[in-house]
Amino acid sequence: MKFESQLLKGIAPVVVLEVLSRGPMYGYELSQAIEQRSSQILTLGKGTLYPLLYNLEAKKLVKGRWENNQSSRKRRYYSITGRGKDQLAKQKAQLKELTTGLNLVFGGAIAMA
Amino acid sequence: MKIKKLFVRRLIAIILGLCAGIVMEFDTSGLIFPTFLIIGVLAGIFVEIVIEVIRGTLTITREDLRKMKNPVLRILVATSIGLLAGIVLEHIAIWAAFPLFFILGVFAGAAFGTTIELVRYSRSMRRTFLEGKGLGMEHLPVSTAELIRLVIKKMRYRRKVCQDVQEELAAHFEDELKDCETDGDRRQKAKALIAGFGDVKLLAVLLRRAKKRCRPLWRTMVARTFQTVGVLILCFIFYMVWFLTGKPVITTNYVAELNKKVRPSADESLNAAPLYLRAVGLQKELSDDFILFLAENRQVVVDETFPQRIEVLAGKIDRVFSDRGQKDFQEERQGIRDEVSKVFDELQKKKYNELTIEQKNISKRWIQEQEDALELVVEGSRRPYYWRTYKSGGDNPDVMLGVLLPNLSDFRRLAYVLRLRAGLRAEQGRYEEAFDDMKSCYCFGQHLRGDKFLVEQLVGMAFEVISVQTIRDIAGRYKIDSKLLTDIHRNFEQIIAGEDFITSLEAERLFIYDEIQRCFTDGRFGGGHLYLSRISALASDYQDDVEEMVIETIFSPQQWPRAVKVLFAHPDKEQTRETADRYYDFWTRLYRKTPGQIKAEGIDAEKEALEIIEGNIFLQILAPALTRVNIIAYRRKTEVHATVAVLALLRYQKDKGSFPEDLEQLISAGYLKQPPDDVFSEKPLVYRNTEEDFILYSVGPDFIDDGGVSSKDRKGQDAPWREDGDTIFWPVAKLQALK
Repeated sequence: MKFESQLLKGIAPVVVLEVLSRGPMYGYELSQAIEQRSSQILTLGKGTLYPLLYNLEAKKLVKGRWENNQSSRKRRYYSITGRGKDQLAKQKAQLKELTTGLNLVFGGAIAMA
Repeated sequence: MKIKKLFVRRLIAIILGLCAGIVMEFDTSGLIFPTFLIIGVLAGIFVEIVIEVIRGTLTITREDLRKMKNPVLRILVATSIGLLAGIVLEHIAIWAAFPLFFILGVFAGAAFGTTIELVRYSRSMRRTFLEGKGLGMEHLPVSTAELIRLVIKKMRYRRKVCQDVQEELAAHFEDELKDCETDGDRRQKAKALIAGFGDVKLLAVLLRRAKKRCRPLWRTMVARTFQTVGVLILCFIFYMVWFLTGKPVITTNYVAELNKKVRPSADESLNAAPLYLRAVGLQKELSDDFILFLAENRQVVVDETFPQRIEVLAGKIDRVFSDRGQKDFQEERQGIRDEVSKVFDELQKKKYNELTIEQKNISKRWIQEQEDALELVVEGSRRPYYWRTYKSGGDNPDVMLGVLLPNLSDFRRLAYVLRLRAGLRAEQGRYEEAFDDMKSCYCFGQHLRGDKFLVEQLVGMAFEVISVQTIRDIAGRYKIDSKLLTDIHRNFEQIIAGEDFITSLEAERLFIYDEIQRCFTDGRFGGGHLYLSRISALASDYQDDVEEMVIETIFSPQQWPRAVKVLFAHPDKEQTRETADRYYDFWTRLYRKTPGQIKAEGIDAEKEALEIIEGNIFLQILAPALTRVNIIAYRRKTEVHATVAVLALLRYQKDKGSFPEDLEQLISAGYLKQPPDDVFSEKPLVYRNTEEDFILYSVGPDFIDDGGVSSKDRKGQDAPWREDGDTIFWPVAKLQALK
């Protein structure tokens, strides 16, 4: 749905930053983590995830580096940068305000954990 | 890595070669620039190739040669083709400063070959890369690997970046598929993943954009710089196509226009030109007898100007011009004849009364030989008009630049002989005939003026000046009776009546118009700019100067903006024509002012004229320098008016027994219509009665009245029209005949 995709597009950066704030991850791991944490509600396909990661990297909010893991497969791990953390804090505060506002509008129907 | 090393090694070899070339250039003071630079670079490449062959890193087999497999070989072939093209261009484009095309050919060939090899290499690397070797693609189902390849292919970005993305996507898919236990499951899941993958093209675009944002600033700047350079090169190519495709269109036959302009509406029987041309035909070359006669009398011909030349010639003359030598020395005879003619021309240029008795005897014989020609000149000078049909001497008869004026030196020779004859006749007491000769000489000069070429007008002015000077000489040297003086005075006043003494630039203007239409392209695509083929043909006479200018420009960065301006931003055809009009209008206006008026108005003619054509390279090359012409023209006017005044004063003295106190007295007595103007002082010529005689002079080009003191030449004789001193018209210089 268009609305859904637009909504996801808006919050995807903050979601990615939030997940990465808990530790470095590679692309697939990150998409899995988002799905798990959102109980399969939020899904970032490859078509969204990788351009988003590269954009965040361009803004220096995340940093990518190649690493060999145990299975000797080279993977690119992304970790949040200091600037990313600041941005995340800022966006989380904005999101909180947005949720409060929405709750007021919808009479508490939208509750955030 | 290996390739990088190879590249660096080759680059170092080329740089070393170039350095050696630079050293050699300095060693030879850049005498054969840039030959050593080219040799240096080529030697560097050659030595490097030899080293590579010895090391075994480069092997060129017979098969390589046959199939041109080796990239170095291909680059060498491309360079050789460039060199050959350069040699061909050197031959075709005569304007090019050798070895410009050689260098361009070598570099263009090498650059072209190298670019092709780089593209080939890049393509082969990309092919290998897209096959996914070493990037983990081999573990993926074929359909998934194909999908990733497609994304990467459409991404169209730097290979290293694409490689990263490809590896990352491959790892992602591999992770997605790792839980599948059977091949069937893998294929099934892969199919589902592909279905949910979305638009490949859109993803490729998003990935490219995101990766572009990731690149560091310096890389962005480099990319932008290359893009800009690329655009500039493209523009340059378009410009060159535009520049080289235009051709001039000849719309006007200016030679015909000039012929129309100089041709009065008069019957051919009134034209003096056929008679003058017949006179030129009758004008005799130095006969063998005359040359032997000159050799016998060489001590007579010799003066301080040509002592060695005639002495050297004299030895040969006996040998070559004797009867015995006639058959054997045809070529040498012509050479000697030319040399003797040059020496004899110098003798002819002298005034008759400057000659020694022996020289006069030689001249008498020469005048006799030329009598028939001189009579035709006299007859021609009586005709009211002179016009000739101008024709180009080249293949195309309508090119102004090719219009030849071959008779001018013959005319000059005739005028000198006429002067000698006047001197001889005066010495023999045949004053009337002597004056007639000089009147003829003056009319001959008048005929060459009008809307003709400047060089013709200048020759005509010279004839007029030698005519009036000789009249004054004869009048001052011999006792001329009052009647003859009156006749010559009146005749002369009639001859100069209505003369405006203004130099015409109309032929010069038409000449420039013609060259503009031939040197600029016209109309449609590629119109209006300089046409290099024509310019190069014009410049071919000055090839050494052009080469020097090109080399000087290359090594003078401060000259580069000017060079760029000349090549790419020069005024176009219409602008050039307007500027040419302004240039000639300026001089035409100026020529109506005397040197005195120009000085009084503070006009710096040369500076103002140069300002008009500033920035127009075409006019800077072709427009003539015209400052001196005006001075020469007005000097002639002063000479003529002074001569009329002298004749009037002599008549007055004959009639009244003494010279007038001032010029007003001469005018009020009816001997002169108006006082003779001094074009330098803007006042009448200075006249003073010195009881037995009088003095008449101009203040001269220094505009200062030196009290009638003339500048002197190295022989101590009066030197008229020098920058210092006055120019004295009377008394005539008492020349001492050389002994």
